[in-house]
Amino acid sequence: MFTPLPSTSETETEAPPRVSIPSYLLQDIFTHLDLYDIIACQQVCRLWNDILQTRRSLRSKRFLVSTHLLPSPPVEKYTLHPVFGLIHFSPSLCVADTTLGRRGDGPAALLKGSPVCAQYATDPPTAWAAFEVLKFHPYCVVENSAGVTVWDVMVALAEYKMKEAKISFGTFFGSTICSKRNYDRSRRMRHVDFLGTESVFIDFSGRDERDPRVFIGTSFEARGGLKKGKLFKFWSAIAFCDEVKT
Amino acid sequence: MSEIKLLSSDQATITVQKEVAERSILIKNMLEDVGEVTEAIPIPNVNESVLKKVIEWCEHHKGDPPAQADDDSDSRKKSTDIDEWDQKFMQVDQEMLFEIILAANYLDIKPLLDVGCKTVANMIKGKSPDEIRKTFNIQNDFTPEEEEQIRRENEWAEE
Repeated sequence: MFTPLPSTSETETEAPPRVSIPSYLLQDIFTHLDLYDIIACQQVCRLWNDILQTRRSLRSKRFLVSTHLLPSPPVEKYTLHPVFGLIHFSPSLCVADTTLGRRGDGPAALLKGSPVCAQYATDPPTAWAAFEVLKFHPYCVVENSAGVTVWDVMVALAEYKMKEAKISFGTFFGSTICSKRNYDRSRRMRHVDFLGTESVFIDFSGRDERDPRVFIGTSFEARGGLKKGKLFKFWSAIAFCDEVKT
Repeated sequence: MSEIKLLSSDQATITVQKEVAERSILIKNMLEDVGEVTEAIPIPNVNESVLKKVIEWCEHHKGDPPAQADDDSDSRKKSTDIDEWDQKFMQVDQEMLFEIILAANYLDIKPLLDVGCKTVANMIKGKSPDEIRKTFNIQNDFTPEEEEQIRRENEWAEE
């Protein structure tokens, strides 16, 4: 409820309301807000924070881990945590060094140790998610019976990237390009070869129209990697999810 | 055009066209249940000034097509667009705004409830937590530790 305060010295233009809004209506109000406003609302007071953290319909905008998994009817739609639109891997590609970046050149906050790691990767929470990061490579599968978290996905993707790819330059680029550029055709590639050594952005903002469970990563981009200022599109990525059974 | 009477919580009788009053699902159902009524229908949760305001809204919207079947998942969060007349209508002090929302909820007038909630949502949009507290006169009851925790959970979203 909007708890009226005793009148403050700095009087606002409006008098403090004597009426308060019950929580179930606050929920309706919050439904009309987007992510950034919801984050601001969470910091207003305990009641607002409680409502935003516990109501399923609102959590889908914030994806906060609720204290217990809510039993839920079968649903088809999964929403990836918005953090996935902002992730980049650090040049080292090590999980421990993985940073959570944001578009633009601003400083990146370190994802590791951030409480966002503990949040679910999808809403509704899923027990497993598979990311097809290269169309000719097996899925990268992430499992967690308690619900896949942001950190689980980060770890899995980072480990995946460290693995040797089972393909050669020849299969990937084709023999003509290989001879033109003097690549050793038979040389096995590591994923890092695709990505260069610069930051890689992941963006899962798209969704497959035919199957709402499928997210499409529009691009994996090496920023300023091989040629400065040019964006390289390497991978497509999709995720399938299974809902957590409680 | 048949008319009915409504009795507000402060005992004021308001005469209103049946068609207008039936924007309220509560009243509509009540009328269907009891049939013809001559005496005023008591609306114990709503006072005269709020009830008049709600009726004003119902008058203006009496010709609106009935609300579509609840496909609210997308349409509702889509926007906080409010039509011009409704925007003007909602230019009231905060107390009246909350009263209208509560009345719309009680009387089961979903489109009005939506407009009310959107209006409050618009008052929240783009504001910092502190500005929101000021706007609605809310006390910050977090401990500094809790505040820090929430801030850290959301640091990824900071601009």
